[in-house]
Amino acid sequence: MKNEEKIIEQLTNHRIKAPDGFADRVMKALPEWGGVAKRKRSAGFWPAHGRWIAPAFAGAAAMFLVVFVLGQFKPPAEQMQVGFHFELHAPGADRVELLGSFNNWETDDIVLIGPDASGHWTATVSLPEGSHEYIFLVDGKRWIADPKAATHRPDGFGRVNSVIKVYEDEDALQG
Amino acid sequence: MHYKVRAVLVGLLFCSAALGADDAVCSKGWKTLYEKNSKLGLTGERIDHALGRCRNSGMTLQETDMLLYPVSIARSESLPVESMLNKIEEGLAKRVDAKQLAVALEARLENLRRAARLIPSSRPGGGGNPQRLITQVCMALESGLPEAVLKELFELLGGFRYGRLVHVVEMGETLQLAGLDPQNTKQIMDDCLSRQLNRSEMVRVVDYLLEEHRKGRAFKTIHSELWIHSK
Repeated sequence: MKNEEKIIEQLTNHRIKAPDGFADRVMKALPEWGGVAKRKRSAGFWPAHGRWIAPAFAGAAAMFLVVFVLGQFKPPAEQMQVGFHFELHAPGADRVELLGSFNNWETDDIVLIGPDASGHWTATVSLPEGSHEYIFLVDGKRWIADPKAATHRPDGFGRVNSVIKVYEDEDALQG
Repeated sequence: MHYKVRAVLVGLLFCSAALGADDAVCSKGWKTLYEKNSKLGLTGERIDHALGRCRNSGMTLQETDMLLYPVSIARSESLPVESMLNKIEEGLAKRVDAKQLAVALEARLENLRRAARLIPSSRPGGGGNPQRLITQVCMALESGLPEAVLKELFELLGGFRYGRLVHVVEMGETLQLAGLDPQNTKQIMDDCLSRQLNRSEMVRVVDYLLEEHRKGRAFKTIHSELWIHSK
């Protein structure tokens, strides 16, 4: 135990002065700090000996492919819808419905509002682009083609349907 | 008294069991019909909807099968079926009986076939949707536009797109339904195609023509005036 204490004391009190210029020589012997960092940084990013070329080309090819595929993909165009105003003069009616190819000829689907003071029933319906056939159903029993429509097409059941044509470049065209 | 009540209850039980069995058979039948049409290529929401409409309109399984048969034929021949399904729904809404509806569907199928034969499948530059053109030609035929007029139209030289042809045929049908002579209609259709008019311009032509036609003016006079305005 005494021996140990003696050694500790010796070490604590051990002071030898370094020779002159020792610190300068050590610092000169060390490589420059900036250069090492730069080399390390570049070595991390660019693999040495041209080993970056293949991965870089692969990445570029993948990116090109992604851009090409995205360019080819076109989302389905939304079908244009145009609001069209339907009107029927039926002063004595209790209920007027509109049936057509645009609503798969469903009854109880489009019910016209009215009658107004002059006996008109009206409805505004959004229609997709194209040609549509339609007919009014009055009081659930009378089928009436639109007298205002310019074109009427035979329905194959002994009646006629009215025809409306809706296209992108116009609002809505009857006939 | 007790005995009578029990007898009535048992009777009701038998009745409900019989009705339930009938309904189950019915549902199975409709399911079979759906599967049959699915195998024929008629799938999805559209056919489901048409079947539902038939069922709700009181059509029997046999009648529905009869109505859907021409639709599956059209599908197998790559013809557009939307107008046929629409015709079924129209007939059901108008409470047309199954036999009359079947006749109308046969007629539509035949007109779709005629339309498909008329349209050259390999038109140069015929980009667009031939199915839409087939449907429109079918409608024009049903409206009475002579097949010969359409045939001559499609024989015209030029790589017209299907979209432009749809509009021209549509215009021809409008003129036909307005009572214009088919040969005069054909001349206007040719004019519109050769002058490469767009749809808006065609609409203006039709409006002008019909207005003058209603005044009782001769077609030759109207026609000679028509293109002066466009020069």
